[in-house]
Amino acid sequence: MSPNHAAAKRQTGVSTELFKSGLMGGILPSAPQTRAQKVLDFGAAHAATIAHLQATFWGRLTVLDLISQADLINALLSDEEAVDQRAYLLEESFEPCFGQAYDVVLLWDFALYLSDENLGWLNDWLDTMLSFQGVAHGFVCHNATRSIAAKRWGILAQDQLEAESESGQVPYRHLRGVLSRTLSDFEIEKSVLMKDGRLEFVIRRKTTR
Amino acid sequence: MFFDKRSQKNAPAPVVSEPVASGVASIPSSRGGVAVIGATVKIKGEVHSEEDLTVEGQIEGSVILKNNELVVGASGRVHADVTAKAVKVDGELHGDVEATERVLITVNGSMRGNIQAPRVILEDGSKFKGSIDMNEAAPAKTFGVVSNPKVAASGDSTGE
Repeated sequence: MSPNHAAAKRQTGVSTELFKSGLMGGILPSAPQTRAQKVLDFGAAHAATIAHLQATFWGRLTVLDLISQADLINALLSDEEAVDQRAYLLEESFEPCFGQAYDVVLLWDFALYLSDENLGWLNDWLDTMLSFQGVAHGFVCHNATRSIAAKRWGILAQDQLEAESESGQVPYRHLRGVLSRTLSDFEIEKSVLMKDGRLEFVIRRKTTR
Repeated sequence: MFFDKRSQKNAPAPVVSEPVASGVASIPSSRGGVAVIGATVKIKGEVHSEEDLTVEGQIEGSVILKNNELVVGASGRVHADVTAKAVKVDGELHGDVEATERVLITVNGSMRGNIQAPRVILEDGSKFKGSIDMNEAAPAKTFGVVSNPKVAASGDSTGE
């Protein structure tokens, strides 16, 4: 954490927790690069993430601030009557990333806000928005009986994440197997257990053999 | 289809809006080099200024401050594309921002749009949705710079 970032934390009094990440360093673009990279963040804009990416890569970071709407998106995806409302919400929510193909998508806890059925929608969405070589990073649960507190995530360093506590818990406790089954166009490349029971994962598009 | 990007770039034609200005508004000089658009003022159209500008009211259209800073105050609502040296958002800003020095979104600030600036600083609790182009700090050009001396603490460089 930079001294300036630490000072900002003290000023705002936000409670944070640090997590070691075994996978983030392997997927984030780093210098020197020959072309601009594109990173899509499903979470809220996070000061640490922006500071870290400004220091380490060039390209475009798109922030969707989507997890705050994830419950509503899940409800609308499940409601067959809500076609218009769903279309409007999705268009509004994803407008900043239309027409782009991303090298990295940071899902964070988004999958844990979608029902099993709606994870299929996420599969289609990633298929559309990820570049051919693109990867997505996120969390599922290691143990379905252990509750997972909602958090707001940021990237402090290549191997360190910062999590701010949010109220409540994530609504679904998907395990690795559910993700493998529902994100059928992708394969889990790696997964690592974290200290709070989350399973950090990286997925890539399946290659045809 | 929801992946179609809607066209939001059409600048509104200058329209007169009560109680104040319309068309191309040039902000006159004021003492201290900072012009203020008050909380009850609404402007539709283009705003040009050659001094720092604080907006506590509303602007719809575009704001051009080539060598100066725009401050969107706590009660300010700017729905406009902005070109400035620096931009500080304490209120609400919807639109694309191009700044030659920095963009700061404070804890009470809310912004939606795309940012192009060498430094972008978000205070914890601020709201941002959109894209940030990180070109000026391009490590590819400077080969392996990891530390970022340009990232400043929230509010440390606002001149306040």
